[in-house]
Amino acid sequence: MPEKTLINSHSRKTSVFLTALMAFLLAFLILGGNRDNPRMMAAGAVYLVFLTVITYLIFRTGMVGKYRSIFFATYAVGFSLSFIPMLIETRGSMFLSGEEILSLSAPLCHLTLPMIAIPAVVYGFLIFPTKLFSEMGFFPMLYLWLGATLFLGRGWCSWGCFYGGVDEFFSKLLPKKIVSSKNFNYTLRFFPYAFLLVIVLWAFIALEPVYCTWFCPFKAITEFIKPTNWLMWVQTGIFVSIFLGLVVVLPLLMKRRTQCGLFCPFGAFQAVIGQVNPYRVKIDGEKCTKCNTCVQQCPTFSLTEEAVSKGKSCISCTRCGKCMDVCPRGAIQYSLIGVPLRNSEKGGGFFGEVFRPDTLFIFGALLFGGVLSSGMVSTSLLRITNLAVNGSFLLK
Amino acid sequence: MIEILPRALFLGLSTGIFCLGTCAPVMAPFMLSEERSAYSEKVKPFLLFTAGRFLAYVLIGALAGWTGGLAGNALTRNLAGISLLLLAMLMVIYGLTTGFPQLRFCRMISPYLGRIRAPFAAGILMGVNLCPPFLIAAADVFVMGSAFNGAAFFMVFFAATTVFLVPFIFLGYLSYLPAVRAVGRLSSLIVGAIYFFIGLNSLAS
Amino acid sequence: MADIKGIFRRLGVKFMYLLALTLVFLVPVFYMMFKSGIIETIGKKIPIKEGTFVEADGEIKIKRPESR
Ligand code: SF4
Ligand code: SF4
Repeated sequence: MPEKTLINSHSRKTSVFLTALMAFLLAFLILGGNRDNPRMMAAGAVYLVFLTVITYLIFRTGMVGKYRSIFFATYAVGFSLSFIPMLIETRGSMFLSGEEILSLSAPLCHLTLPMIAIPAVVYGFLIFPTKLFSEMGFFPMLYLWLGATLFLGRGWCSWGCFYGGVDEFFSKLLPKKIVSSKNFNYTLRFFPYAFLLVIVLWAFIALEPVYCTWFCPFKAITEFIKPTNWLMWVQTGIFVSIFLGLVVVLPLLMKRRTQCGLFCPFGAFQAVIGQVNPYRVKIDGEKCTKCNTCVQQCPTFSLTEEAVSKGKSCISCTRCGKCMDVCPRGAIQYSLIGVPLRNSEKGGGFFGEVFRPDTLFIFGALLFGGVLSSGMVSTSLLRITNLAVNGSFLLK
Repeated sequence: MIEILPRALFLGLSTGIFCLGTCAPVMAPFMLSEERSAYSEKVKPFLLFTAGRFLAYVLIGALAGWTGGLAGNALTRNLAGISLLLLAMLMVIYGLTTGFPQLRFCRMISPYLGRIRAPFAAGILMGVNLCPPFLIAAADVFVMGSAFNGAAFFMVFFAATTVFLVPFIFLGYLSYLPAVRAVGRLSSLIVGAIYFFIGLNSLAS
Repeated sequence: MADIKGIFRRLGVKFMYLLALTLVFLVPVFYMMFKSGIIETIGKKIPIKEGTFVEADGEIKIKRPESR
């Protein structure tokens, strides 16, 4: 049991109810899709248990940031452990070859969407070598993104993005931060927006997914073109250094998600477009003592002193819940646009607890992320078992 | 002489969307970076940039018409590379002085920057830069063999392509938000860095 | 006047909660639709083509106004 009651915690009765409902829905959605594959079914069931435990812990203790982070990092590890071996199985290495480009079989990820949008509208062509309807092709990704924007807004970046989890993973590894962010220049958090602007215009001029070619750090855990000339070596050098610097080293040292908060142009895109989602993170000015604990800890630099005095997080907020975990006064809460702040002293009873903005948001977000991650995490579980039994990550 | 002008107009209108794409990375930062209250102040960077482009176009046009050949030879390519490098430096300095004015370097350099009027200089550098639509336009002028016709051709071409840049004026209205200004300044830095690389690359090859 | 404003505010709050609840319900619906083939049906109606890439350098083949 937690020592203090957190603003997002629920009574035992409500938590059990919410967890049961979640388990039911997850079972229906995760296991339902794998009925003809018993091994995936078993792996899915294991993951289902994991998700159920996480759900209960989040609702009961109210430590949203902490337990969400365990889910999110597991998801990212599961993604890497299933995606890289899958590439090796199908094409023998992580390299993206010319044939794959010609046959349009590069998997598309959400980070490319803002770049390919304008050329797609102006010329009616995709500037990325992917198919329209393949499993990780354009339309499925677009659909997924629409859902993510509707249900999560930029919450996508703390509940749905498999890359963000890698950042999160490294930011959680060390127990204490080594580099303090006291002197951090907050102008830098506008970098992703500027970068987005440049990337979108540049992609339109060059008709090429320039972010993928030049910058994307997550090529390091997915696929990349084998460098054959000096220009390609420059490109490789750039993405490897960004990966090591912003996804591994700085998160370790600062305990913040530096890639997501200071670099990712899709994050910036999602921050702006995600405003259509009705949830917000608000700060109760009457309770807040301006201690700035949250400002120091927000993983994506989405809280500044100015934002705190205005009573809401910046648009880049990923709804991760960390600030609510650490606020000593319980002054920060999930809220809905136009809905007055909740008075946490009041218990509210069963229905009062179920129909709280935070409950509704967390339930939806966890369900969305849980189903989205299930395939990847389940396959990675199968691969790990295979490693233990047959000594190889590869299933074929 | 008259018959070439509709051609310039048509060419300008049909390739204008490219001008938009090519000039946007340079224009957008200038329009977004500084807060300007009066309307005349808001259009100022746009006008300066446009004036710079105009000057460059007329000069290049006259030169191309006069010499009867420009594209393809090493001089033009070097000119493009050098102008890109200069443009890159200008953007970086502009981004630094507006975005991080407290830096020592910025305090030293900002009085000079005010004097050269960054958008104007950027317009000239952008104008002599050989973006694709510009190259086709230039190819047309080579065959004319007259400085006057060349200049006239480019003036019309300039007017037609400028139509596409007008929407940028509205970007100026966004600059009242401090966040937008910060984004504008940082994007100036990024564009500078990228152009620097492209410039170096084109000089090296 | 103040009364009317109050009514509207309370209606607004109700509406937001309703919206939030709808969103939660939509999550399972969203995933069920994902598998139902609706993406193909709608996607086919949108006039976007796959890019074609040139063999030599993997560059995209799109007709641009200039002839480089
Ligand atoms: S900022 Fe980018 S990488 Fe990070 S979680 Fe968001 S989309 Fe993913
Ligand atoms: S403001 Fe709070 S919820 Fe939003 S990203 Fe920062 S810590 Fe997470």
